[in-house]
Amino acid sequence: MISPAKITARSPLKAADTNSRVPRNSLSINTDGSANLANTKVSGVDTGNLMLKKRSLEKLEQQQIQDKKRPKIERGRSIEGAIVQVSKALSLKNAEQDNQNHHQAKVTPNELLEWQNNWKKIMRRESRIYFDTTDETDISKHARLKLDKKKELLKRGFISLGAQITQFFDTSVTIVITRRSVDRISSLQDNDVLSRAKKGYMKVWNYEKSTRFLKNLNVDLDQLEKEKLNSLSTPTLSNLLQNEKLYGPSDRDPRTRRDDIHYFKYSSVYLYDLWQTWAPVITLEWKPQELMDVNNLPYPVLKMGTFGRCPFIGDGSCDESSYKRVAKRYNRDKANRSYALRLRQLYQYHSEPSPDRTEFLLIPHTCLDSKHCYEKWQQKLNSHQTALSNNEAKVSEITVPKTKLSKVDENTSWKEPIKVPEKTLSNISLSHQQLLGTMIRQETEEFPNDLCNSKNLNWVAQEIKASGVHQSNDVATSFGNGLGPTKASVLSKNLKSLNRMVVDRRLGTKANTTSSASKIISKINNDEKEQSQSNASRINSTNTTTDNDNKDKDKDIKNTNKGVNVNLDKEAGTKKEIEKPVVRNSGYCENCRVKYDSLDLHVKSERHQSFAQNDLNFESIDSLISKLKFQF
Amino acid sequence: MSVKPVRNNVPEEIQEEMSRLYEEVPTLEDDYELLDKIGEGTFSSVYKAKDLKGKIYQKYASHFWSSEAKYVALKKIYVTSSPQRIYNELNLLYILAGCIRVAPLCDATRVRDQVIAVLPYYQHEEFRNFYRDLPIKGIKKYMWELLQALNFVHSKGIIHRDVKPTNFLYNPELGRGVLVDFGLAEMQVNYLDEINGQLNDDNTISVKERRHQEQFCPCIMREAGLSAPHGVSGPMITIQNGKVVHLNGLNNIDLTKGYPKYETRRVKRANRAGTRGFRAPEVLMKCGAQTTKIDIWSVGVILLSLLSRRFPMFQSLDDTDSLLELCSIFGWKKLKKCANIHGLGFEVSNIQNIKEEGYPGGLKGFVYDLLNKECEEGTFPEYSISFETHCYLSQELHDKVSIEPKLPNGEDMKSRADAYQLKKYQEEIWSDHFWCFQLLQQCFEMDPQKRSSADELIHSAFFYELTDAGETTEGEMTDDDLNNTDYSGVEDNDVLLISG
Repeated sequence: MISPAKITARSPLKAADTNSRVPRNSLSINTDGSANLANTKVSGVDTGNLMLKKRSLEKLEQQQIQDKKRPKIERGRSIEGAIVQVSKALSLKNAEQDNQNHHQAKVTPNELLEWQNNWKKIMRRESRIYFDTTDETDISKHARLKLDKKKELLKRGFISLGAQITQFFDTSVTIVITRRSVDRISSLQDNDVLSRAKKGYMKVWNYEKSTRFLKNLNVDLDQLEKEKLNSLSTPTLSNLLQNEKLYGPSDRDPRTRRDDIHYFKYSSVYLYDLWQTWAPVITLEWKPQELMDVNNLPYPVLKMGTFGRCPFIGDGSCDESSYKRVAKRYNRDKANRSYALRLRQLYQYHSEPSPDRTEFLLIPHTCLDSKHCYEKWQQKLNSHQTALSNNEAKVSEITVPKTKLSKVDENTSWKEPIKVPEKTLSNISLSHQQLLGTMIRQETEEFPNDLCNSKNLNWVAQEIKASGVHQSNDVATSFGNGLGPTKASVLSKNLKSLNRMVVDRRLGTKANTTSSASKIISKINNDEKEQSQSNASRINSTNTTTDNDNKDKDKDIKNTNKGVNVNLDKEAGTKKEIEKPVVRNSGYCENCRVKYDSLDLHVKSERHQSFAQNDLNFESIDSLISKLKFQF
Repeated sequence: MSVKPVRNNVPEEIQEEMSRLYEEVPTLEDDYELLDKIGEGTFSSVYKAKDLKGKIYQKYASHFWSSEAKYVALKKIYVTSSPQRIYNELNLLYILAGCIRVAPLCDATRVRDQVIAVLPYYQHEEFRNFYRDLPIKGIKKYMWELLQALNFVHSKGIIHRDVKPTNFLYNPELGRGVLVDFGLAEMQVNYLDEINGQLNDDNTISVKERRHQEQFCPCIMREAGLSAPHGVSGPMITIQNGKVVHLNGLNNIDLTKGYPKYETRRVKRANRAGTRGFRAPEVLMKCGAQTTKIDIWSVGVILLSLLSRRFPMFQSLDDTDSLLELCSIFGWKKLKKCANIHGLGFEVSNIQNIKEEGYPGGLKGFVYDLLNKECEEGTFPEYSISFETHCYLSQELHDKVSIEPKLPNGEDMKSRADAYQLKKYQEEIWSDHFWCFQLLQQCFEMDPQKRSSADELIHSAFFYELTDAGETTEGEMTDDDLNNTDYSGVEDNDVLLISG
């Protein structure tokens, strides 16, 4: 316990007195944490109920004595002129006197709380504060600067309590804050602000007193000072209220669970700002039922796979040990042999290529290879050659289950590329290629990295598209030509996921290879859930049919589902033609800052043309071009 | 190997497109004859053309890999790109002229909003056609060329941002490569200077003031030699058991186990231009202070493809999945540590397949399993070069007793001389593999500050045989017309070392 004398010396709280020199009857209180504070009802009490108050004060005194006996006291605070249960500033005095008369009154936590509540109310409702602009005459420039800073700080402190600061002195002012000494007000001229304030029964406080007052109202001035430049975290009243609205009262235990926070219960990924300045980067959660299907998890899984394929995609339904694949690869490897061996020759002994070298060394290996696989199959087939019909049955046995598989298995993302004759491949390659220019993951889906086909396709088709200039993680912004702007906005989760789904579908995302589609499901509320799930399953069903047209062409999809035996390449070709104009030409024009559906139309538009015709827009480019021309 | 397009083979649609280009830019016809369309990127189409007057060839002879074919590439930049973006690309190319491993801007024209850039045409081979068959020394040369190009680009303070096989045109027969497409490239900001400019009177940086800035990332504070972000300006946050539970008295709330249902904070943006699968973790984590090291990560992804003979290595559509892909190889513990560097917390809970420590056996274990899968399935041809890596790794990982290279026994040796040669060859290849995996590890360092620079990687032991032969590359670099010396590569550094 801190002795009353010491406390007086420190900073006795005397906000309620009006600088009248009263004996400082310091009061010690226990603030064993706010949890101990009982909620006293203040509102109904008025100045008339002094008797009642006296009685309650006696009670409090007794409590105080008991408290003293308790050893664990964390900190003490002094308070003077506490318990002001009035709503008018003028009647304060009575209350104070009453308090002062009260012999050696101690202030309990209850009283402090009461006092604080009262003053907070007064501050909020009827305080108009005027800052006296006159300085002491003999003040140095440096000191003045310091005082100015202090003034700003005090202003902010009072504002945070909801008080009004007025620019001009008038009769409505309730508190005048001055940097002059308050002791000599009587000696000032009659027209001085301070003497006028005294006459008008206004409070006249100096800076020290104001600081003490704010401190006792739990306004942390040090904190305010630190946050001076940071307007965002300035605890202005509106700011504080906003925070309280968001996060609840600030005096709660931070670890308690709360309703306005979503806590992760299931499998989740969470990437968040440790300083909590920014919104989390990733918030993802999957319900257990979404993770039931081990073969179709909504997040990336290492499937390893073979034949050069992306390990996160794996082989899918492609059975590389089947006869068809073995034969296909054998032929591919045979054709590639001379090139591969040429590379060996070039880089046999040196990392500088040696074009003259013809011999090469082969370290023998014991692994299974494509040639070995092929020979094994040949042997098997030969042993059956005696009965040709048997042999045929064998071959069909190999292939038939696979077509069945693709009918049944929803995960099947593609069909045996072998079935697409080379002729049709080159026929569709053009529209195909153009399509690929806008589709992100075509090559890994239609033919999951099938090296057997890679040389038939233009390399353009194989390119993984750069993401463009997006600044956000949201796939939702990656549309069209990738030039679209990103906003640092707060997007509603549902909207975001819906956007994302639209994009997913537009990009032709595969449900089995992307997690996004199923992620969305978890994010969208129940109403939308059913619908999106049906969407997802529709995407799945589309997957079985080679192409990745996930658009709203239910008719098409139904047709393809019915007719799995329909000539696939023909269908793929027509489908692509349908899709081409939609995806290909839409985008964003950075110059006109508009989204467009048709590039050709947009370029011809008046707006774009007026931009294009204006040479001023291209000044920097022109100067660079002239520099280049100069070199010739 | 590469198919030389013949004019009459060009599809009608492309022919039409080319004649439209002639109409749009009439002056084109005087200097160039369009031959074929050779590429279509995000922001441009690229055409192959003949340099009719030969003036480009004269000026940029060192960039023409074969002297008989004097072709150029015309890059038609889409009109929807802003002049600023176009200028940025062209200007960077202009700055980067003078390195034989970076495609220079030879010429440019503009008609209204249509800008055409002229670059040399490089007779290269598709990555897809050689990544399965390139021997380890070929991989070495590929990496050498790529790192030399990047070293030059980085020395100019430029981040390429989109390093991937399609943007590095390589010809394995010549052993030459050239870095192209600076459409996403940018100058690296000197974040340290930025900070120093904002020092307070008392020589400290108020982190609190800066943490609202998008360009700010705690990862640079370490660089500045200042204390950790926490506590620089008072108790900003309170951490209990490593968890942030208290922030400035403003909102006492534990947001480490959940997020507010009604989010009001802004979403941080960061430049994340690049290609999925090649983005460094700091890009995925929206670090506001990205450096040239993001390109080095992409180099690592390419090297991983070459060693494990898989392409593409990653496939995810968005950054979240990309991070999870990285987790399944490197483990979430490493990524959590990485997130902390950038002021982020990272929690992965109850996700099967994603382990704390990552793939068993690390990168080597991962590459081995990928190769082994193919060896079991028989998807490599009998002449495949990947058996070398497979064999090396199986010894390194599973045969701890002898690290010495040994040939699989049971094979018939034609003669003792052959056996000796083979042995010698294998020893050489084994040491190449050892250093190559070292290099791979350096590229995949999570902390961008600890990740090696292109210059450091060039000096790695893996490249010793090429560093010694530095003179030959220097000879190549002398250009008929360019008087200014080439600053790419080690030659320059050697000079510096001697003079110092």
